[in-house]
Amino acid sequence: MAAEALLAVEDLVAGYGPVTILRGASLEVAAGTVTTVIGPNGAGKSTLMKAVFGLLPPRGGRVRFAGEEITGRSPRELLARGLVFVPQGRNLFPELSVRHNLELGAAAFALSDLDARVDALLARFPVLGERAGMQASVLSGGEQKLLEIARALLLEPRLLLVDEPSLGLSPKMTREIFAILTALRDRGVAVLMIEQNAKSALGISDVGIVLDQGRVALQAPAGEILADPRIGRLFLGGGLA
Amino acid sequence: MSAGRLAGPAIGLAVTILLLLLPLTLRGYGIYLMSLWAVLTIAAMGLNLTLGYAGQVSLAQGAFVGIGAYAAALLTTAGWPLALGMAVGVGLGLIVGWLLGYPALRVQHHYLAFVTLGANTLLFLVFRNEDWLTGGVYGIPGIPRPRIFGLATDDPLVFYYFCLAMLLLVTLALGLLLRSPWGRAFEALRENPVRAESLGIDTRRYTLLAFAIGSAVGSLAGTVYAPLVQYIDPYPFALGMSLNLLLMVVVGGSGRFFGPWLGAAIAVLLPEWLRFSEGLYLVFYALLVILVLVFLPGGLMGIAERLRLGRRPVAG
Ligand SMILES: Nc1ncnc2c1ncn2[C@@H]1O[C@H](COP(=O)(O)OP(=O)(O)OP(=O)(O)O)[C@@H](O)[C@H]1O
Ligand SMILES: [Mg+2]
Repeated sequence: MAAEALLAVEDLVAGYGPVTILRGASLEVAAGTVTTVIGPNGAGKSTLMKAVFGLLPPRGGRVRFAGEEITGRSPRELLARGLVFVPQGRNLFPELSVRHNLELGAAAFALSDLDARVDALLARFPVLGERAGMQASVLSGGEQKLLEIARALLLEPRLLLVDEPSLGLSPKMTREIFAILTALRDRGVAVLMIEQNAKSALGISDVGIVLDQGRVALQAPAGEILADPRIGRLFLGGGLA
Repeated sequence: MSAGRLAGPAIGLAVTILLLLLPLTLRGYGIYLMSLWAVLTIAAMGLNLTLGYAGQVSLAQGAFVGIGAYAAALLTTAGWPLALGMAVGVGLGLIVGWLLGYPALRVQHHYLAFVTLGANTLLFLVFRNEDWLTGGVYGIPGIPRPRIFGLATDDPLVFYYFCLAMLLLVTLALGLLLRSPWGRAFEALRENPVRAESLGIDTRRYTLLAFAIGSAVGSLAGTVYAPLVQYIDPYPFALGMSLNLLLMVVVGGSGRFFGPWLGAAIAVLLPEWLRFSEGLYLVFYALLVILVLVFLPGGLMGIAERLRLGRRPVAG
């Protein structure tokens, strides 16, 4: 048997009020990989991440992270274990400065080396470093996404969950964000992302997952999914086969 | 750059010297006003935590000053030391403040303002109607001034220095709190509770904490207010004081650490300076508040920030 996956989701069930959205989703994310979840709108992709990250209480199933059961644990407990989440859309505090936004990545923790970590991130991402004192709202959409990712890295995670990082970004900015995500993999941080931009996202991923109607229809090496004509027709706009 | 960096400490030093020496040149009423300023600043700093840092509106802060004042008055007139009154007042403020936070988990903004306004009225009615405990409308006279390390504080000047010391202690404690992860959690809560959740902040817990701590600081102010005025009745703790404290926070600069120092100074001094205008001072005050709200969302401290940072003001 292979070593246990970094993240293992088994038969996860979750929903809102009377509606069940996730109907027993199972997937695995191996350490040191980029894994991309694709699927039609409303398939439950964002719901999956919210349920894994403890923002939505799971109604069934199990989630294991780094060999430990974490089903339904609070976001704070998960952050402390090295699991971070960048949700879909805008997640910054636009009125606050870039630096202040970064600092708030550790808002739930007492870090003695907070300043040093913030400085290191500002140095690692010069686009942010040059704008450290500016309001986050003056950043471009891509720079804001970058800041969100940098903020998530403040806690030195082992797995980054990121929901549609390319939403609303130009193709150039999308490539830059993807390059940052693959660079994370090379630093030993695993990435699980959701993407509508399936073709380019799978192109940089190790593993692809197809979510449909609240279940995982397929988990396979990204190249295989890209080459699968059925998937092409269903989710990739039909241009692949 | 270096001049800007020195400006903060330089202003701090100047203000400290002023606060230490100015009262030596004043007579009874002036010293009383400065003492009142120190006490109201403490209460406003508590509200600034709840409102300015955690983003939760409260129109009940005056009633928490009342809770502290009654705790101190009842215990010290019964012969207990003020320290006990402070412990009890702050403890009650924490508990009642925590309870006041529960509505904030369900409603926000102007709805929350109305809920807390109702709470203020409820507490006022307790002060007024439970006369077996509070003396009702007759109030509690003869509240003694404390002895601090054996030193009597009956002299107005000595008592002023006691008020100032309390203000400095509270300022230091709040400064440390706001630099801790709690301070950052409050800020994230104020900026956007939903976004704060994915940063691991238990917004429920911090909302309750923001009310509990802010209210308890208000009650602490009350425990100093009672020996300052030496006679309390329910009326100061009706809605008026809560509104006044809210204006101090807003005029000084909501979410600006020293905003309440400035806001309270204006609230205490303006009526005196505008005494010549007789009843019109309220009109001037109202105009000032309107101007600040319209033109200075950062309050008066916001101006200082703008001067320091150039055009675009950035909190923190
Ligand atoms: N907070 C909510 N309350 C009620 N229903 C919700 C909520 N959030 C999402 N839903 C519903 O759950 C279903 C799945 O939503 P989800 O956001 O998980 O889809 P998705 O796969 O991420 O879609 P997209 O590609 O559009 O982001 C949708 O039908 C949506 O309307
Ligand atoms: Mg989604």
